[in-house]
Amino acid sequence: MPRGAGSSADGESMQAMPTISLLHFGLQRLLGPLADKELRVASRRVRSYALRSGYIVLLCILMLSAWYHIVGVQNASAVAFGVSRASVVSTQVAGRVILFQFVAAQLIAALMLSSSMGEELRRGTLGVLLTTPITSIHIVVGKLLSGLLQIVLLLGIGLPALAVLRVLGGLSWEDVFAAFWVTLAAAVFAASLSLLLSTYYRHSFQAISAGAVVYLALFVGLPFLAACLVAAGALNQPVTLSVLDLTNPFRALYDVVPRVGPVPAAGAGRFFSWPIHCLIMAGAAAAVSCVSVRRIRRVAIGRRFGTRREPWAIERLWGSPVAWKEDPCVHVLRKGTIPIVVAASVACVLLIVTKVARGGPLAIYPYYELGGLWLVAFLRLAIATAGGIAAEKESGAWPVLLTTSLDERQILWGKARAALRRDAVMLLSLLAIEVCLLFSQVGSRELPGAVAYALARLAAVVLVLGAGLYFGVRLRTTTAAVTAALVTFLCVNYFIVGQYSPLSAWWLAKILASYVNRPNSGTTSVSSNYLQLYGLATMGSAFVLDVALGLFLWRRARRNVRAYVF
Amino acid sequence: MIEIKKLTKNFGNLVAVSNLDLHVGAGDIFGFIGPNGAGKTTTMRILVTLLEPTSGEAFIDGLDVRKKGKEVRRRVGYMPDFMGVYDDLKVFEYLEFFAAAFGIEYAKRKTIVDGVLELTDLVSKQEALVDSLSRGMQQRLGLARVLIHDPKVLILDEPASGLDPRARIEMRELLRELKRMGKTIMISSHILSELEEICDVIGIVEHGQLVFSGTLEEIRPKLGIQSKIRVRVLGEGLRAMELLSVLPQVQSIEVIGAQSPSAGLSGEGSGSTLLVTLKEGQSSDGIIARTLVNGGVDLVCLQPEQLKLDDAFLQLTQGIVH
Repeated sequence: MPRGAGSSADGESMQAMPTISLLHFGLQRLLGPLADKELRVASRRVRSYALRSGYIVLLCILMLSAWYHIVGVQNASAVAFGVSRASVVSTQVAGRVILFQFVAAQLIAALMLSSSMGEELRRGTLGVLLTTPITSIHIVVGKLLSGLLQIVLLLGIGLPALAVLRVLGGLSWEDVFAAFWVTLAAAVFAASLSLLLSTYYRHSFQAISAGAVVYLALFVGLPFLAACLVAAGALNQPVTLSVLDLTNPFRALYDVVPRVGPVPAAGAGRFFSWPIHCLIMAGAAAAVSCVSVRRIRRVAIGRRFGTRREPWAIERLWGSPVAWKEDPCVHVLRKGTIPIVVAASVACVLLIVTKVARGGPLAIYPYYELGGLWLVAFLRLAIATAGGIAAEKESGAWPVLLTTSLDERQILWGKARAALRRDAVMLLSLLAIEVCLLFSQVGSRELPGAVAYALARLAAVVLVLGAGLYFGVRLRTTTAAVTAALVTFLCVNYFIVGQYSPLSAWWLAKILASYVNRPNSGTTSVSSNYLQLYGLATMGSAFVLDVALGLFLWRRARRNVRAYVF
Repeated sequence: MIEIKKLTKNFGNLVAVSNLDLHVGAGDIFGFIGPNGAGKTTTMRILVTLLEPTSGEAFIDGLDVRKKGKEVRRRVGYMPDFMGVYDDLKVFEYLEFFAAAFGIEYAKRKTIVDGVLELTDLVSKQEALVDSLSRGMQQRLGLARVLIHDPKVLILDEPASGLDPRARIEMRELLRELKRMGKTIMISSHILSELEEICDVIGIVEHGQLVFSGTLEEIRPKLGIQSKIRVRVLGEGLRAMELLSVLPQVQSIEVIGAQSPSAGLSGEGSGSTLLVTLKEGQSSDGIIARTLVNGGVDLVCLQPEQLKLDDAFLQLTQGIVH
């Protein structure tokens, strides 16, 4: 190598080095050693790889089922037909992929960060960390960034799929880009909120539960209230809608990629910009993180010395010891659940009275709001069931419980009973509201439908309980167990069977189409009773699979209680 | 009361316990000793039905731990090395929970819990939250929990670890009291001096195999250790050495303390201290004392050397961890 050339190259690298070093030093100062440790550890955890693999599998199932649902049922053999509809199909599939990524990113972010502080407290490492030069900012930033890196990786995994759909047409690069940033901003907010809540609650399931309530209040309750106020004329519609679009990630996603959900009502003078929305969400996440930073030291000291709880009188044990330990309150109806019962009763009475007074169907159906509430109810159930077992493993109390003379059935049944008792009020309230809504829509002639609906929900409860018990027994951490139980429930009811499952829509449509429309009828239109049959078949298949899988998992849990103790 | 036959437990390629044979008689306190990773905890977990053995058999009170798990659990009280406690439960509630878990009727529970609290000296703490107790108190609570269903056998994994000296002495006294109550106790500990004081029988395990089981006195011949007697006399020890060296039982004599207190290795007054090693299988039978007194030596003290458990442990184990 010529001497001069080498010198020149060396000179350039020497000039570049200080810049890189400064950047590296600056980043290190901001992130601290904790971020470094978290990233190192994350790459060694099997669950990181399991999460990514599971995510890819779900994404593939979603895309394939959506594709076949849209293309396959219409006329799979006609190539020309398929090609002509490629852009339409790709738009619809992309919409589902984006929505899936949006929901999954927030859920995973919330789950990953929900145990961050509780775990440190339980292991006693938070106090140790605070005796080192590491600051509270380093702890919060380190935890947040390590979690978010996983989310970015997951979102990155989905990008090639969106790129392929982009090639088919019907989707612009701007759509992909905007959806990515809106999703990431929502995940950042969910993660920071979950981290903050983990400083209030020592168990991850408590933090997740509280996070779900905050989310509902912020992104379902507030828009609902705003809509009521707009309807009453108390608020200006364009301004209110603009504020909601800019601050609500769900509405923002609909604005960015309209085909993922209902298009928000257009209004003159309404303003929306996704970069501003992302900045607002990032700002909100930063504000929430600041509160976390302020709380960390106080929490570490307060919890270590056990100064936070109010004294109470000794409570005598009654009934099943396992159920009592999980939830010592005798009554299903308790102080915390009274507002839920009152609200549900008022809603039911209003729905019935309005229906009777109007005589016709109601114009509104809060589909997304109720869906969100059901998801929260099932999440709570999964947390109570899976968390009830996994939390005992985390605290080291599980082996002690297993050396008592309680058998497997008593332990699992006690856990399930306690979980049901905790969530019963919310589940029954939601069921009552939905039945009343059904009545308000179609009247009393759909009574069998209402019964079928209630049975389907009951089956879902069986599945969540079974999955919660099984994964609680099988896995070691609460977060992993709750996530697995919830993912199982969502996969079964939203991917394989159920009203919204593209896969079930595909196979049910095929079966029913061949049964209802006779081959020689010469028409492609569905028969009059097709929809009714389709609805019953959807609900029936969901019921059968939910109950069968729930009972199977329950049985597996019973067999494995003593197999995965340590 | 505890019988283990050819017990083996593998975790993948790792052999945690290998062909272990063990017997603990009723009413004995059995000290289970071994280096870290030797298989003590695994053996105990098998005995309390938390782990399934790969092969072999284990019996508690004549019941096979594999086949009669529930009956075994009724007869055994297990205290793990790390005792997990429940949050948000008070001491009384915690004990009552376990009383209920062992199927004790509601009407009897309060009396039993009160009794156990008294036995373990935790009455004043019954209203305290379990996770706010100190380590020593938590260990004591663990012992109270173990006793709640009045088991015949107690299996205690490192019950004294992390305790201060006072708490250790109290724990020792409590175990002695339990022995008086007729309990069979299997206890593992790293604090060998403590086991030495309370155990009737010890078992030393290494690499998952039992290298010794028996009383401390039974270890001596096993190790080929000869009896030694420490002899202290007034004045110079030369006369005493002359007298003792001709005895047929004596193998060797070592001076371990000189006449001058300032230079004395024994460091106790003026006089000399000799360490007399007897030939293997020989005992002194008072002949040393008689020889010295008859020979006109002013005998101050004559004390057989005790075999320390630490020494036995070091000689029997290599300290190799799995």
